[in-house]
Amino acid sequence: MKLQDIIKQGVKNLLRHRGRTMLTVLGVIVGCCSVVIMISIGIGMRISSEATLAQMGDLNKIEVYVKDKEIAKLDDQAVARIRAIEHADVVIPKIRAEVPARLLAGAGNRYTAEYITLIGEDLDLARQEGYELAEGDWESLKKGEALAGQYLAYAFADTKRPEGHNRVDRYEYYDWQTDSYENLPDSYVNLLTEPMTLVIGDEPGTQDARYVTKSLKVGAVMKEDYNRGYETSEGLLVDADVLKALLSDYNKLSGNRKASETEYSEIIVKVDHISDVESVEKEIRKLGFTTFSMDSIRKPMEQDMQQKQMLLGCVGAVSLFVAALGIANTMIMAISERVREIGVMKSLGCFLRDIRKLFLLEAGCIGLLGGVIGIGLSYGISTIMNAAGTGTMFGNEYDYLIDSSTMNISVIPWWLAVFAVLFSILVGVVAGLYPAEKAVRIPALDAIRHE
Amino acid sequence: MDQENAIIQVKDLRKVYQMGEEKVVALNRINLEIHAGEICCIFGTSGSGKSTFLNMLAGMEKPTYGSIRILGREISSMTEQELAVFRQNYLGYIFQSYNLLPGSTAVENVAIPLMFKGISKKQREKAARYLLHRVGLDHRADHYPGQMSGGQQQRVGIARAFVTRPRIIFADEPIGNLDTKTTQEVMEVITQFAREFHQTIILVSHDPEMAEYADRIIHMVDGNVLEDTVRKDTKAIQKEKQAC
Repeated sequence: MKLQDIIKQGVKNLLRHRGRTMLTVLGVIVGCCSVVIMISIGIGMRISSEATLAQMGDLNKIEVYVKDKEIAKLDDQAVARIRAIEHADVVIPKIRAEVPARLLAGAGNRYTAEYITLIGEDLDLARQEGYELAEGDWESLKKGEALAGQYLAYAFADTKRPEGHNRVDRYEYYDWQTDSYENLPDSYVNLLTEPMTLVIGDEPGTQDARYVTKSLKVGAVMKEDYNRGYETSEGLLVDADVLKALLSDYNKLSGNRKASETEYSEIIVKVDHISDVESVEKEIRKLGFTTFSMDSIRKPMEQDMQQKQMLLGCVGAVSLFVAALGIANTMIMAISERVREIGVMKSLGCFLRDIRKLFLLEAGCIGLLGGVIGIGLSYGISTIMNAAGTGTMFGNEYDYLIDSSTMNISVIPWWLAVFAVLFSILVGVVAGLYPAEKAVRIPALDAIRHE
Repeated sequence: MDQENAIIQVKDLRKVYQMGEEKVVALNRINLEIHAGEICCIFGTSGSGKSTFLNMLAGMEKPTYGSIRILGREISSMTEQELAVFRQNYLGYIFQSYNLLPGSTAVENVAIPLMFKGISKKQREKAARYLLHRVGLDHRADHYPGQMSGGQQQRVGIARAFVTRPRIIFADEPIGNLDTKTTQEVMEVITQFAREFHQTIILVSHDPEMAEYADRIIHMVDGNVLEDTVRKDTKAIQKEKQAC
């Protein structure tokens, strides 16, 4: 028998028993829908939790700190060893100045900014680390120029004015509702045009003041980013070598022999893919360092998510299983009704394999129809759910961190739709296996016997 | 009688049914040969074993003992697959209760054996329409079985049996459900086709009137052949003579 003839016969048979076919299809629709909706809720939860984590910080970033100086130091050797680890894409050593740092600007150093966060690192790597610029651009940044925090200019105080009236307090103009500044006046200092002096150590002019200075030019202004650190707000990012030299000079001056300028405060490691974070982190720990990454938060969240997804999937699978039973039942019913017909087909010379194909095709068609309608219905239900509910519906402990109104409860990616239809067909065919074999075994003699 | 002419050879055929404790002998050592072109009527009352005999000839039941050779091939030892191919190529079957597929039109029903052979829709429907024309049902070709009378349905059934031009056609009480006038029409169609295509017809009946159309009557009683007569003066022959 030609395939097209088998298909035609199968469809004809299904249409002949429209009512029964539709009821069975309805079962598959419900089964398919429940599986798809359950999985889509799982996917929705996963997406929202990923988004939550992303808002909390870089997912592929590992911070490396010293655990015990006797075991391992964060020096150039350590940097080289970490760089050698597979998947450790970018390794950024950082020095955080522990000594008080201040900036002087204006005629006669009229404006001063005290206790600024001062960090030394390779500025080329800073770009890869993920610092973003609010003013200026990376390409025109010159060697030796510094990066300033977005609001560093407002850290300057005017020494000619009385205490309490010597600053522009940017927080006065901050609107918490809109998370933005309104009518923020200009600062005393223009970071990008004015030459500045960086002072490390005691305040100049005080008794026995020990300090070192360095004239400085700001090449660009960073965008404020709470996940990166205070240097993006009112801090300064300078070249690591410049800061090393300054600290070395200061240490000599203050007689602090113990302090070492060859050690870094921390090392930031960027891993090329989230899935490699765990292994890279493990390798770094083996070197004797303490690490921190979002993986330690992500992992339990992911496990939690998997458990929930599994549970949801099971609920859906049960209904699809019931639908499969429905298909099998319908097909067996169809066979007992068609015993005579099958007998006639056999006595007219129909191959057994064609009879088998015919029944599997009918069962598969029920699955296909149920799957296609089911996925269509699922998209509808998904849309309604997303319109009606908010992301907090299924209890995510990190919900408060994110704006849940933009999150969808249920997400149906294209692959889920394709998978659902294929799976429904498969369920149909599998459910049809037993009935098809039963049909094949009907003897040709039954064509005459069933009077 | 030459070997070539014996299209069916039955040797020592026995069929015993196990009915609980008891054994029922349906066929008791049957030996006979049927020749190409014969219109052969297996005649007997119910319980004579005639239907069992026909079913075994058509390969629907396996004998308990003995052999059935059709066109030189042992039919009782064929697999289902071989049997299907054999039926497609050499056998036709006419049922007492017509057994048309209710969801298919007359032309589709006639074309079914050709569809099983994998012949294209266009070709098989052409052949089917020709045969429907021959049985006088052109105007009913696109009707469903439910819209036709018993006689019309049986004529569709006959067209279906002949559509593959088989060598042998089995007919199980083909006129069992029909009135006298229709019986006449149906039997004339069958015998006419058989003569035209030089086909062998084996029909089973309990009706002596139908035996009139056969040129050989095998009378069965209690699983045995009581009488095997070859007639020279059948109704079909009479009719041919009249036509001349």
